[in-house]
Amino acid sequence: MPGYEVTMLSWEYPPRTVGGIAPHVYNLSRELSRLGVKVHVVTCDFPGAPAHESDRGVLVDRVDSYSYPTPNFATWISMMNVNMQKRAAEIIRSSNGRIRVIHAHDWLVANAAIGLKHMFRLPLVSTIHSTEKGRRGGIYDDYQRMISSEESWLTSESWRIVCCSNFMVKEVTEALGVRREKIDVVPNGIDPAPFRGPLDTAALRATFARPDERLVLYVGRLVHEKGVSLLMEAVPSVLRRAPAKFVFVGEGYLKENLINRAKELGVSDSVYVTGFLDSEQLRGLFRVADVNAIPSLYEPFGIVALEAMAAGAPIVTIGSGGLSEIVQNGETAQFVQPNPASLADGIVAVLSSPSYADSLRTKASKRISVYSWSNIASLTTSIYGRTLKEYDAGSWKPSSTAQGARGS
Amino acid sequence: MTSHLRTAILAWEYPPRVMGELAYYVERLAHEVSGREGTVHVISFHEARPATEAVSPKIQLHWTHNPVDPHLNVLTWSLSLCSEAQRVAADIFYSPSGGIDVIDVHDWHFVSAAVGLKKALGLPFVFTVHSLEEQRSREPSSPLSSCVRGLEWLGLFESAVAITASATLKSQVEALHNVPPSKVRVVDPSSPSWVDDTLRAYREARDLQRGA
Repeated sequence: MPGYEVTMLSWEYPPRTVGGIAPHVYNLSRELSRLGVKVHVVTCDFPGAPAHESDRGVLVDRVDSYSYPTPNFATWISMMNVNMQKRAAEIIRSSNGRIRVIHAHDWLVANAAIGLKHMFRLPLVSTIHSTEKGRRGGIYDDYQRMISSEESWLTSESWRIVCCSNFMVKEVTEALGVRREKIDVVPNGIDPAPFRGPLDTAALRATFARPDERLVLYVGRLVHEKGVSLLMEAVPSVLRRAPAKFVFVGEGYLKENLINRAKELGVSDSVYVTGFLDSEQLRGLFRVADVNAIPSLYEPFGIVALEAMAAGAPIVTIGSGGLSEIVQNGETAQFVQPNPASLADGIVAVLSSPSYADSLRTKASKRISVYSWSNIASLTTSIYGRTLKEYDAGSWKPSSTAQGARGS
Repeated sequence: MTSHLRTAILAWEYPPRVMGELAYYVERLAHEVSGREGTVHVISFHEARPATEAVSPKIQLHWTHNPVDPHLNVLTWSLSLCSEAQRVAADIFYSPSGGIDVIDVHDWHFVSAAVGLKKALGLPFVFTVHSLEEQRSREPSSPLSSCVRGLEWLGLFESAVAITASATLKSQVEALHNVPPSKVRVVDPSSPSWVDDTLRAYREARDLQRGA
């Protein structure tokens, strides 16, 4: 049992869920706690959520995230960091040395984390979930330059950096100038249990498709980098060869565009654009889908692939970014080229061969254990362990005679 | 208790970086305090000066550089600079020949740094208010000014003692930020007792923190 404690700084934590960081920090913290690493999460407040709670060994503090008007998001983040640092400092100080690592998630907590690192002289570990350059496909203005500069500062101040894929390692080394030796790869995780509970699959399936129709599922933001338009363009070609329904789950600026394009292509009767669905319904859809199409053009990791694998939905994908590290062509997914014709061919290949679909399903189901949260937490404790070993061997730490020599 | 105070002064301007009168005020203060007490560390900002300069045997200047560039506004600028000021102050705190007994933070720019140092290292701070955003700003109701007022309030709330240069400003501080009058001292820089009064506030802040 490690015995030390960690302060985790994250701008989102359930029930405040904006993107992927919240579920990541939530699951990682709980599993770390099970492995004997007590975690103190300091995060933003959320209506109805307690300011302080203890949940399965994870201590959560939700700070006043500054609710007054601010000029823009980045300025709000700066103000939020003032309160986050203040509370985290109280927690670390009152731990009397038991908290030995500060773990930051993305640039959103950089100001707080870096100040804490120096004031307590504790090692800082940072997970870079994505970069500004990657998220926007480039750096075009001063707003982005500032965020990218914050990211560089955070990585330069961190003892170790965690990335979720080799694709992200490349992005962080190239976009932020980080040395490769400083980075560890720890994938995102998934809890497969909620995908295996009792479910009336026939009833759910019947909501979207007739018994003779196959179901093709897309789950993700409806934005360019997810390749969702390629899938819409592939619909007519699939329908010419197999009766099917296509379900697009998610929101994004391309939503209206997709609905209109379905009309133009004459496939509206075979396409659902549902918006967001609740978690239970979404997990059910993964389980009844005959294909989960993941046409992403940019994907730092690709957690949707883990969800499909956990639920047993055969994957058809371009294999961009981190996806190619999760699934293998012909083994756990059908890979295609980034164009509608190839995507349609891949989907039809899986729909027309039940034995191939079963093979993809079975192999994916075996592979999913690599992404269990207990495995992710174990890899993370190795990083903490290495960091603390190096830290303990070095001289940068709070001196036992802090406050210098008296009588100057 | 007669031991010499070791002081850290946080101010966003100090000669040769002169934005207004604050730079000269802090320069004079550093010389006066170091003449009577222990080492004075001034933590300020300059893009081009070396990290540390010795002004005299008892005055050390620490020039911070902003680790983030560019910035959107003075708030994002000052709040990332605060983390750098915390690094510098912590290095003084942990230095075998260093140590800090009290921090004097001037106006809002470095308030967040002082609050963090108080919470993390137990260092007391005095908040010297030279003017208020309400009076300085051309758009006092703008979101940016609202944030600055929020930091002023934080400095007044978290400081052990606050200083103003006049009774008028003291009244304005109390009225605007709902501060108890007992917390704010009027220390007139033109008065012969200016240094004595300032040092009295420093010792009071130190003693309050010790008793906390």
